[in-house]
Formats: sequence, structure tokens, C-alpha cells
Amino acid sequence: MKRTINVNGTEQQVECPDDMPVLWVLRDLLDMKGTKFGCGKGLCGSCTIHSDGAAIRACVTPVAAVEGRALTTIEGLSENGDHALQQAWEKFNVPQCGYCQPGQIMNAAALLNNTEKPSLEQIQQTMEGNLCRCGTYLRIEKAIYYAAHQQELES
Amino acid sequence: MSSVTLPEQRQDAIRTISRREFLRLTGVSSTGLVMGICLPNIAAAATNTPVFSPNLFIHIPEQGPIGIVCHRSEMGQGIRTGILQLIADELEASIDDVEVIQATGDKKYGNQNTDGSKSIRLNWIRLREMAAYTRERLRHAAAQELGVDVGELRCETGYVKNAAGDVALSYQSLAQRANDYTGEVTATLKDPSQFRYIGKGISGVDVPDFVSGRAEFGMDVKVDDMVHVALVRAPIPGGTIKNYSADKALAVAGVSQVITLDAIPAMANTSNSIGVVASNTWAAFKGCEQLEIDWDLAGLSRMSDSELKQALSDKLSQDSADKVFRQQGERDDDAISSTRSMEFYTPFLVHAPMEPLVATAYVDDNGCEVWAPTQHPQLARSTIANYLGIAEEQVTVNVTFLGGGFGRKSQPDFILEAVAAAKQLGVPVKVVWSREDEVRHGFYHPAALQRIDVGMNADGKVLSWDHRSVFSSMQSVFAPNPTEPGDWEMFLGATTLPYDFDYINIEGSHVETPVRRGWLRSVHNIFHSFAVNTAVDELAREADRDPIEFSLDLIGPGRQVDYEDKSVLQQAYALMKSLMGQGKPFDGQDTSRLRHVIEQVKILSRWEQKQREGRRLGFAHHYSFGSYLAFVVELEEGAAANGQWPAVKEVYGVMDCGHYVNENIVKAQLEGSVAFSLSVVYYGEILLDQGQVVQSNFHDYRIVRAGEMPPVTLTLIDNHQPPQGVGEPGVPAFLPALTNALARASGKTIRELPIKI
Repeated sequence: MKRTINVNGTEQQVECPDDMPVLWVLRDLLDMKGTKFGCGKGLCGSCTIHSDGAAIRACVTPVAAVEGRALTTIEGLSENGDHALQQAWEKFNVPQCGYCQPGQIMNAAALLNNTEKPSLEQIQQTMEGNLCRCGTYLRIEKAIYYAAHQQELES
Repeated sequence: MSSVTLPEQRQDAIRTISRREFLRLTGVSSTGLVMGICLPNIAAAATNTPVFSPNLFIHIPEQGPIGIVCHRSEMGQGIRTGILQLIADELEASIDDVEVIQATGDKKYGNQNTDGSKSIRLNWIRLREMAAYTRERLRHAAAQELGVDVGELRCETGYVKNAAGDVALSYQSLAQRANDYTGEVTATLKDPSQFRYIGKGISGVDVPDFVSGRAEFGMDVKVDDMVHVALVRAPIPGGTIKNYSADKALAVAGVSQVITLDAIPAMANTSNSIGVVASNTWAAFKGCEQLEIDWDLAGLSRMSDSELKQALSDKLSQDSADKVFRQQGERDDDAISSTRSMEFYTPFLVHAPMEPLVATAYVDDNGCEVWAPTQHPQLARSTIANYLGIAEEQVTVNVTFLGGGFGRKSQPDFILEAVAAAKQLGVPVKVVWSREDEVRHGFYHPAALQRIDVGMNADGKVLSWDHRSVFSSMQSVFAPNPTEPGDWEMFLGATTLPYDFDYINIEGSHVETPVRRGWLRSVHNIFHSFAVNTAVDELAREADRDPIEFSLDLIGPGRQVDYEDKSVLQQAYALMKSLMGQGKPFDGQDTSRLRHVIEQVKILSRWEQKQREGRRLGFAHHYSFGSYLAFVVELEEGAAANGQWPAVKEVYGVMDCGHYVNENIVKAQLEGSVAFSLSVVYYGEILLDQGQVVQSNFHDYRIVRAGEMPPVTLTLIDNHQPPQGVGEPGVPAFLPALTNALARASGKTIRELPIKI
């Protein structure tokens, strides 16, 4: 059926069944490839996006569940790829293969939406659900902590 | 201006060329198919038309950034950054004024097989020579332009300058003259003390595209008029379709067609499968769930794990092994007063890169074009040409970013499936694997059963070492039904034994299993190093010796490990040498360098102080892919909250990989090696039930999560030795340091993986 979803501030018309996961609506119907497919079962976090500012797993969220919500994907996190987290990711040279990183960044961004200055423990807890086979975890934690506490760290 | 002859090549750029640009450049309308049209030359891939392309790798336009071609696949190891560093440094270009262009698969580039931790090893001299020659031609062109002696000019950050520095001509402004220059040019490589980029921790060139979601992985490829296909493959390789019903699958919204694909033999090694063709990936996956298939598995091995272990055990206990791979010295039975025999079991493993397998292909009368996250584009190209019965020149293999590879994406099976489907359907086809497909239809790291027998004299000195390794050989990748392990398989951590024993006997045997086998990061080193390092640590514990001192004693004084004295080992050694390319560095193992990293990790970890304080420590070392590593692992005090094993508190590692190109990236690879090893030790296990793989996704094939990652402190040895491997050597060195720490802390022995926390 035809429906409207709001992605990165833009109303998008799509035609798809109620139960089609948001991941495939984004990737295959809207051609927004920044949100990644890793497991299809909500186990790895590569598909993490925001629904009204909170992190969700797009691969197990049916499109019907996000109608009327404001979705944010990696493409909409910042206009020029310069969100504090994206800058910190560059500073610490976080990515290896890079595939899981949009999901990692979106999960971290949702944390910062709710908690301006998370502790290291809060960061570790939040990031438990996002897998990285290359093993960039240490740098991810450093980058999130730096992005959140940059002012204190540099003053 | 005279026209220039550009190299004949098809090139696509990972990040400099969009699909739309591609269409524009090739003059194909956006409704037409992107295919067979090959980019006539580098001009289409580089932002600006180069006029000076003295070799395949360097392309200088009159305006805009200098194009540097990366012919190796980027899978997280940072090779696009490394190659840029090599060329920009020797060329004396500015790293801010170059762009990386990804090569398609083509033999003209030389070896493109991105495995074996050899990208830098193969290209360290070769690419710098090309860059140095290019630099000198630019300098001569400038001398001609300025009418001065070439000796008065120097090259610096993309300019040729005079001594005073008040005249500076950009490389771009000299491109045409350099192209036309016909005089003799000789070039000398820079002295390492003059390196501007090599050795520095420069941030990855693609990081901005990774963090913005712009980077195009294989999974992200979209070609006009493309259909999505998902496959249900025979549950055991060799299985055939008895009959099937597609009715329910065809009823799924978005599904248009159901097809069958026949198995393709080596090197493709695909299975028989049924494909669901759909307008989107999700419909294709749903369609697969609705297929009703009756597979014919008659005559195939239905081995379960218990039978696998029995088969390995039977082979291990035979009087003689399939083959002796290294034998030296004489066993002095009279002097041996005590013996130890230890057995080690390690299971099948699968790669689980975060990006499952995927490939996009189009086939028509003119040839074939594919877009794939492949580690081995030349093998993909030759295998496709062979399958379609066409010339390699009619096949274009575009290399995308790889969302992890770990060896799995060396195999061309996933690309050949897309080609076979595209041939049948006549439109561009994208074959997407689910995670379940990836876990259940892998090329598995083989399960291994090993025995190490040690003979000691009355003083506890080790006199004899017998190591027998039994596993399912990966020679099956090249041809079915191997009869014995390959020399190269044993060379990965078994025959490379660095210890100076009077008698050494290393042998191997093969056991056939119903699964496909293939290389996974670090390959046989994982289980060989686990066995060797565990055995030595157990001997040290028994003798109540410090494990580091004990290891150094066994290694003995620094020497070149003598590989050249026994015929079988010599063949393996010659093979490794040849893989490293003509005259390229592969010097064999120098135990003085091994000793050095061991001494250094002792200092880095404050080993002696921590030993005195009774901390829970573990140690191991390993030489592989030309690099020397030693690790110390310190565990938390007390039992872990979630299980019987204590967590890792701190990891210390020292690596000598020769002259490293990028300190930051080398350290990232070692951090990644720690994570990779933790997954192997804690969880890694693929089990068989009736010939089929039991595991399916990350819930039952677990990999470590953020909270399990310990801090890692690393030191790289600074030297000017030829660069060696980086991506793989970390795993076999760290892994047994961890298991040795856990065994010592628990008072147990760990001779089987995973430990199951």
C-alpha cells in the first residue's frame, strides 16, 4: 500500500507492505544506502537509525510502525558529515572496513541526544549492541567520550 | 599540444566517480544499461584528464589532483591509504593534492590477490620506483622549462623548486612537458630519513566517506534495471534438487520469477541453488522462505561433529602421517628420560564479515561486467571468463569497498552465482546473501586435531619435538578431494618452529569433510600457534620456570632458522618467496628479531614487577607473514561476573613488521587482531549436524562486543628492514597469550577451543 514516511525532515512516498522493514524501504525503495544490512535479526546494530531521536534497529522495525515518526539516518545526521561524532571518528581514525560505522555513529548519537555528558560506563553499556568484526571498539569509545567531553578535555 | 597515448584500461573509482558521472562520461543514457562499456582510459575515472601517465599507477592532469591507482582491495586494512603514502612520498607530491582511484581486476597491474598480508610487501619497492622515476621526469621537464641545470632543482610537495625556493612549478603545470620529455632519466629511491609520509600515522583516506555513509560497498551497488536475487543453496555441497515448488514464493509481493542455478566446479566452487527474483531484497528473502524444496543428498557425507572428531582422531593415531614436512637432527632415545604428549582440538570457524556476501552482474553478447566486494578481482575475472567461455578482456570486474573480508571474499563463488543468474535473466542481477547464508555456506577455517610429543633429558632440557597436525585441507579450493595437506598449509605456523631442538619432526594429515574449506585471517597459524605456544607454556609451568625465560632458552641464540636444508620445507619456503614477487623481501625467520620483540614486551608490560606481585599473566610469541610478535595478557583479579573465566584487564604487544608505512593503521590492525582472537577463544565454533552447519547468525555464532574489549598497549619496533605482513600476524601471537593467561589463572590446561565463557 501507499504510505508516507518522514526521513531526515523530508516526506517520502513509498508503496510497500506494512511489514516491510524500514531498512529495505530506505535501501531499496528510497536508494539511501548509508544504513547497512548486517544480520536482519536485530543482532548487530549495523542498521541503527533514529525514530523521534531514539535508536531503533531498522532491519526488524516494520514500516507501519514508523509512520508519523521522524526518522533520521546517517545521511541526515549532519549536513556536511561534520557532527561532533563524525569529527571525532576522523580524529581517532576509528573505521577499519567502515561497514558497521554508520550504525555505530547513529547509536552513539542517540545516546548523546539523551545524555549530553555520558560516563565511560554509559558509553560502553549503550554500545554493547553494535558489533564490529574489525574490532574498532576501543577507538569508538574514545571518539564518543571525546565528542561528548571535548570542551572539558581541551580546556 | 600533442595528444598523448593513455594506457588502455578500464577503471572505476571507488569514490571519485558516481554512477551518474559514469553514464555521462561513457555517453550512455540513464535508461540504458551500464555494461560492457568500458571506460576508455584513466581520463574517465580521474577527476581531470591526465596528460602525464608514465605508468599504470600515476596520472597527472594539467589541473586538479594527481590520480594514484590502488590495485589492491580495501577491506579495512587501510591499503588505499598505504599505497597513497608510498607513491605520494616518493613522488614528493602533497598528500592533500592526490586522489585514489580503484583499479578493476586486470593482470597488467601485477598481483592483486589481497590476501596473505602482502600488499605492502609486494609493492614497497615497485611502486616507489615508479614514483621516483615520475618525480625525476618532472624535475627534468622543469629544468628544460626553466633552462637551468637539473641539479639546481628539487621536488617538494607537488612542486619543482629552485634552490632559493622563489621559483616553484607545480607538477600539474609540468605534466605536458614531462609527458613529451624524451631525455634519459635515472631515479634513486629516497633515503628513509627523508620520508615525509611513510611511517607516519596518517588518518585513513576514506574515513570521511565511511562516517558519512557515502562509501559504496558491494551491498550498496545499484545498476539501472537491476533485479534482486536471493538463493537457497544445497544444504551440503554436492546436493541436487529432487523437486521443488515455487508457488508460495511466487505469491510473495515483489517476487517475479524463480530460477535454478547449477553448481560450478573449482575455482568457482558454487553449489546447486534455487533463486528467487524480486524487485527488492526483502521480497527475495521472503520468497526464499516460501520455497518448498526436496534436496537429493544421497551419497554425500552426513558427518556430524562427533564423527568429525572421530575421523580426526583416527587419522592422528595412525602409525604414519600423510606427509613429513620438516625433519632434522637425530632422536637420541638414550638421552630422553621423560616424555610429554599433548593433544589440541580447534573447531571449524566462519568469517562473518559485517557485510554479508553480495555481487552485481550483467551479461550480454559483448561480455560481462560485475561490481563486487572482492579480495581477488583477477581470479573473479578469469573464473567468469572461463565460465562464460569468453576472453578475459570481455569481463570487467569493478572492485567496491569490502565490508570486511577476512579471506572469505577471496573466493569467487558469490560473484559466479550473480554471473550465472545474470546470464539466465538477461538483466543486471544483484545476488544478496542473508547472514544465515553467509554462516551456513562458508569456506570454513578447518577444524584441527594436533599432537605434540616432547622428549626431555634428566635435567628437563627438551631434546625432541614431534608435531602432527591433522585437519581438513584447504587444497580443495584448487581441486576436489586432496590427499594430503599442502606444504604452504604447514608452513603457516608449524614448520616455522623457531626452537633450537636437537630433533624436530613435523608432519601433517588430511581428513575429508562435507564442507568447503578456505582461508580465514591468519589461516593455519591460528591452530598451529595455539598448540605450539600452549605446549611450551605447559612445559614451563611444569618446570616452574618463568615462561619468557623458558621460551628464550628454547629459541637459543639469534640465528636464521634453517629452512633450506630439507626438501619439503624448501619447497614451501620457495613458494612463499615466489608469492612475494620477484626479488622481493622474504628473508625467512631471524630469531634475533624474535628475541628482541620478546625482550621488549617484557619491558612494556612490566613483566617482572607484575610477576613478583603475583598478577595473572600470560605470554606468547609468533612469527608469521614475515613479522615477529610477542604479547603479554594480564587478567582481572577474581572470577568474572558472567562466568568461570576472568576478564582481560590489559594487553601488551610488540611487533617487528620491518619498516611500517602507517603507525596508526598498523596499531589498528593489532587492536583488531585482539578482538578477532577473543571471538575465536570465547565463542568461535561452527558445528556440523548430518553434514550441515548448525549455526546461523550472530546469536549462535557470537563475536565479541564492546564491553569485552580490553585496553591494548602496543609498541612497534622502528627499523629499516623490508616491510612485512600486518593484517594477519597479530592473531596467532595474541591468542595463545590469552589462553596461557587463562590456563595459569585457573590452574587448568586449555587444549581445546572455544573455552565457552
